[in-house]
Amino acid sequence: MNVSLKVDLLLLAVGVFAGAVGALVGIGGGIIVVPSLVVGFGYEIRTAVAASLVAVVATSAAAGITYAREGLTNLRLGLTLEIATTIGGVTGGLVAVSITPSVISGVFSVVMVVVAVLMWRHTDERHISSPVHAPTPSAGSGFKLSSGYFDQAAGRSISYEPRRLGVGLSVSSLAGILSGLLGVGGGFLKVPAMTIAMGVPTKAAAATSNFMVGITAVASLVIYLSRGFVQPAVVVPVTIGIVAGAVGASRITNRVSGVQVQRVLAVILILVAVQMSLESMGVNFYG
Amino acid sequence: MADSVRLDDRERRIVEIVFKVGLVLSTGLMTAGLLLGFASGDAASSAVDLTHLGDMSTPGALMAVGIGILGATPAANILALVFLWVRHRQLRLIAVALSVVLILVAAVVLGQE
Repeated sequence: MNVSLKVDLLLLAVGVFAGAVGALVGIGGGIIVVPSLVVGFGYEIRTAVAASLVAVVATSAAAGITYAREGLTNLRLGLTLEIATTIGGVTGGLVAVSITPSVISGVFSVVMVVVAVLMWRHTDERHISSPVHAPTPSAGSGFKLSSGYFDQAAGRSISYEPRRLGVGLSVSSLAGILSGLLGVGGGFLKVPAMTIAMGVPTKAAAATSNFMVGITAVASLVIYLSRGFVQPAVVVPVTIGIVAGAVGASRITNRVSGVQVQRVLAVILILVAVQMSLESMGVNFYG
Repeated sequence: MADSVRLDDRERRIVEIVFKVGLVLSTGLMTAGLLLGFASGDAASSAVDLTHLGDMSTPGALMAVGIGILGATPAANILALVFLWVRHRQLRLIAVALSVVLILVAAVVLGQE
């Protein structure tokens, strides 16, 4: 097998894995793509981040088809939070072209461990077992963030009314900055913020976050694109793989329990936290 | 209330369609570019420059256009929702969506060196 084909197949495999995990927990998969490209393939970090951002857009689109069809995505909440997230994404992208993210990695690893522990302990199923009766929107207001969906695993309809929008906007802004800096979707911050602080059920939070991460990634991707960091030879195999992985995994998301999804997310947060703390202590994954 | 539910359904249907079209087009072009690259021995490793597609080889151009379409898909989703909300006079939703579009446009401008 020639070297180029072998590399492309390996990049494809990285994409499939990242896409599947990303779709199941509502993150973009960038958490897996960036370290894989830098550590495993030796690509320069900004090239890896740019490839990851394209992959994040692809994951968002692939999983978003199923999420939208199943009515899990809260589009109005997602777009509202995106005002803060895209500003963060642009800021992060502009900063990323001049600095490395190693300082942020150390601080952020601590935050992620805290969030992961909270996610693991948070019994969201108990929270949603008594569906919140969302208030009927006032006539002509045209702006309700409450939503609902039919939970196939639980066999009942779930309604909810997001609360603490300010907290959601603040966390979304931070998620946007990290997205632009590290090439991750930022779902690992937005999903906990939506479930824990805003009272959005896990599945709806994951689907809404999935919708958001694509827009956020584009905000910073255009900066990497204009600076020449988007390389088709890297981007294309990863993206095709990630679409395949995301499509496969998103088909089963609504048939697994919310607790399982939360716990998978918590484990991923711990893994990424370990990766980032090692990096901040000098074990540099990014070379 | 029934109107509100119908609007929710339409929003989700639009998003589903735009995602599907964007994804099929972009991955189709990228896959074609990748396969053509293998066939012609062109690794297409140069950086994407969407403003100079004419300078690129066919595989590279196909990949670049595919990446461009993929990148445009989330924005297309927002614009499609805006059109729907304009028809239903959802002024606050339109304002929220256009704010996001405006920030994306600002990113393009700020990204230029």
